[in-house]
Amino acid sequence: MTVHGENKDIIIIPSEVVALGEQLKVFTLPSPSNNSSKGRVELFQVSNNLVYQIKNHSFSKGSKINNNDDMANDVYHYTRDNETLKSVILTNEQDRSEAYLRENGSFKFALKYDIVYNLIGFYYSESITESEKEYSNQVSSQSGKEQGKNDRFLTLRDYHDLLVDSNDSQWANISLEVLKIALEKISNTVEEAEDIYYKIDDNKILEFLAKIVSKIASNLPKSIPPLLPNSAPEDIQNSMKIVLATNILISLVPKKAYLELIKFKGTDNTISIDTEVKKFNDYLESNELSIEEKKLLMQAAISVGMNNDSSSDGKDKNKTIKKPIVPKKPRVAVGRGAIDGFFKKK
Amino acid sequence: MVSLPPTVLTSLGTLHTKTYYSEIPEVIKNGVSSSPVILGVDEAGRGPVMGPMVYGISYCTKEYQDTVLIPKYAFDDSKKLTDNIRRNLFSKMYDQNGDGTGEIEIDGVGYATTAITPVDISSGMLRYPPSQNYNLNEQAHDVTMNLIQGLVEKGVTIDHVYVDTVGPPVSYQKKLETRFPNIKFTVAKKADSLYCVVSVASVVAKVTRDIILEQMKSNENEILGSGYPSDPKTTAWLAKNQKQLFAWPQSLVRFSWQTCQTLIKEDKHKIGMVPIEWEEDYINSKKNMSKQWTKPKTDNKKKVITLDNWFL
Amino acid sequence: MNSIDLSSSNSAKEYLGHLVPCKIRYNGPSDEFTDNFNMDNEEMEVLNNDVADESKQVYVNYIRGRKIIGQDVLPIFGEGSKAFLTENVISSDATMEEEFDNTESINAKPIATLNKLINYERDGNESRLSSELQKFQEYIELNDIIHNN
Repeated sequence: MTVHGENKDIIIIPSEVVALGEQLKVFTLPSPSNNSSKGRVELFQVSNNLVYQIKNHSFSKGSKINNNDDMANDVYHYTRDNETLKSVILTNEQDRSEAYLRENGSFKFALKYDIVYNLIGFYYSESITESEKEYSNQVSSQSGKEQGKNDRFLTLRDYHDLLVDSNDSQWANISLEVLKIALEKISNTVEEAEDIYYKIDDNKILEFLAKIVSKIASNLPKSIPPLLPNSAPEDIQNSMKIVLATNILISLVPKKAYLELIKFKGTDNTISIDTEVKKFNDYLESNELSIEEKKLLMQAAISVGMNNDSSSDGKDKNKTIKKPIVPKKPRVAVGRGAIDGFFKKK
Repeated sequence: MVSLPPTVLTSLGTLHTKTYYSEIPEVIKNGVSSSPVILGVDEAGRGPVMGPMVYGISYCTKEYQDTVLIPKYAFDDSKKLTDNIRRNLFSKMYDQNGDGTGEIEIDGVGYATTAITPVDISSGMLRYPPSQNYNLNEQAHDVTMNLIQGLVEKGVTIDHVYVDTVGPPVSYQKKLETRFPNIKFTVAKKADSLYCVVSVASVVAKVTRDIILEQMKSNENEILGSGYPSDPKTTAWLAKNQKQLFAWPQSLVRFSWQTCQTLIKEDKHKIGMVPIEWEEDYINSKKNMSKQWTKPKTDNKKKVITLDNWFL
Repeated sequence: MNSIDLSSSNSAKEYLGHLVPCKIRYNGPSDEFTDNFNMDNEEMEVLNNDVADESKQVYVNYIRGRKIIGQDVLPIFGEGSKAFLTENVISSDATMEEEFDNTESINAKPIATLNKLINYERDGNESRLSSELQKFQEYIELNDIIHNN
C-alpha cells in the first residue's frame, strides 16, 4: 500500500464513541438551514442511538464575518490557492524515522448532533436561502405552505419513509429510535391502538428553539462582542443576550423558522423572544445613544418587530393552498446517482 | 592540553543564549585599590552565518591595565593576533596551566561573555508579524547592557566603559548613558585596538566563539570554515549539508541570514528543497490589498453574528 | 469518507500531531525528523514555569529558524476523547450497503493514536494562538448546548 501524507487524516472521536469500538458508517444529510451555500452535514450514528457530526477545522483562520476587515488590515493571510497558512506534521514519538507531512492543515472531529434540526429543516423545506444575509430581510419570499408540513399524524415508520422519500434518501441511515427521540421534541402525538402518531407542530418547534436560545443566552460565548455598553441596565443586557443567542441559530434553521422564532410569544415553559427583542429595541430608541449608533445597533439586532406585517404575503398564500398530500415517491435512480456522485467526489 | 574555557562550557549543549561571569578579582572585590574600574566591551562573530555571536566584557582597575596588561602582555585587536596567541592569552585568565588547579596568571582581570546562539538570533529576527522582529542590533545592545547590569548587581563599581561598535557610535553612546547614568561611556569604532581593556574583551569573545564553533562539528574532520558567508569552505559546507525540509541544523546555522534564505528559496544546489510558504510572504499581497480598496465603511456592530460566520 | 473503522482500532503507535503555521508544499514521509523538530524543553520549562494547568502548557519548536509556539488542542474535547491518525483505504468491494454498490468506498482506518494535537503560531503572534483556541473551545461548548438536549 502506498503511503502518502495526503491520504492521512486526523479525527478526534468523543470518549463514548471510542468505547463502543464500532465501524462508523458515514452518511450525509442536507444542511438543516436549507441554505444552499452550506454543504451537507456529514454524520454517523452509533449503536447507542446517538448521532455525531463530523466537522473539519483549520486554525490560522479568522471569522467569516470579519474576513474583509481582517484581510484589509493584514490580520490574516491566505495562500494563493485560498488555503490557510497551516500544514500538518505527524511524528511517531517512539520512532522518529517515521514522520509524515501533509500540506492541508485541517483536522476532523466528531461532535454530538441532534437531527431534530434536520426535521425542522424538512418542516420548512420550502424556506430556502442562498446566504445568511437574507435572514435580515424580514419578508419571507417563499410560499408559506411547507412541503414538510402535513395535516396528518403519522407513525414513526411512516415519518421515516416520508423523510427518506421526500427529503433525502440518506434518512435511511437514521434509526427509528433516533428519529423518535427527535420527533418527540417538536411534535404533537396521539396514541391509538398502541401506536403513537406524530405530527410536527410550529409551536413545538418554536418552544424547542426558544429553550435552546435561553440556554445559549445564559452561556453566551465571551468572544461575541456585546451590542450595548456595560452601563446598560441588567435586564436590557439580558434581552441583548437573547437577541444575540437567537442570531446564533441562523446557521442551523431555515429563514422561516428564524423569522417565526423572533416573533415567538413564548409559553409557560419558555421565554417570549418577541418580548425580549422589543425590550431591547425600545431601549435603543429611548436611551441616549447617538442616532448613528442606534441605527447600527438596531440593524445588528435585525430591528425585529419594527415591521409587523412583513410576512403577510406568505400568510395570505397559505390560505389558498390545498391540503398537502403526503408524497410517496419511489426512490428514483437519479437521486441515487447524485448521492453516488457525492461520495465519489470525496 | 588546555581545558575548555568556562565561557565555552556554559554554552555547550544548549540551543539558547548563555552568560558566564568570572570571579571578581580580589583587588576589585575588596576595594583594595583606589584606582577606578574600567571595562571593555567587544563582540565576535557578528557577520558569520554559523555559530554564536559572542559578546565579551573584561574589566580591571586602570592601574592594573597600565602597569600589568599593557607592559607585560601583547593584547591587541583580536584579529591582529594569531589563534594560538589569543588562546594562550585567554588561558592565562582562567586556567594558566591547563591543570584545573585554578592558578591564574592574569589575576587582576574579570570577564564575562554572552553567547547568542544561532537559534536565538534567527528566531528573534524571524518573528511574526514583522513588527515584532528583534533585530541584531537590538539583541546586541540588550546583551551588552545586561552584561554591564549583571556586574553592577554583583557590586562592582564601574567608572568608565569602552565599547567597540560597528554601528553609529553617538546614538549608542547616548542609549548607554541613559541606562547607566553613573558610568562614563566611550563608544568608538576600532576601540579594540585603541583601549587595552577592550582588546582583552575582544580576545575573550573571539576565543569563546571559535571554540564553541569547533565544538559544534559533528566529527573532528568536518570543515566548517570561518563561518563567514564569503568563506568558500563555509559555503561548501552549506551546500553539502543542506536537507530538503529542515535545511541545516538549527544549533549551528543562522537561518535569518540572507545567504540561507536564498539557498533555501532558490534551491541553488538543486536538492529538491520542499517549498515552505510563510505568512509574511503574503503581507500586502494583491488579495489583501484588494480588500483595502473595497473595505466597507460600515461599522462592525452592524454585522449579525451567527454560529457559522463567527466560529467557522 | 464512507466509514471510520474503530472496530479493529489498531492504533498502538503513538504519534504527535503538529499544526504548524506555514504552508509546507509536500505530502508524504520524511526521514529528517530523527534529529530535527525536537521540542525545545529548555525554553518550555521557562515558559511553563507558572502554568499550573497542564492542559494549558505551551510547546516550543522551530522550522527553518522560525520559532513556533503551540498548545494542545485535545484537552478541549474532554477526557477520554481520542485523536486518531487514519489512513484512507479505498476499496471497490461491496461491503457497504447496496446503494453504494459499484462505487469505491473510502474506509478510514486508524493507524496511530495522537497523544497530542498541537496548534502552533509564530513567536510574536501568540495572541492569535490563544484567541483561536479560546474561540474553538467556545464553539465546542456551544455545540453541546445546541445538540445535547
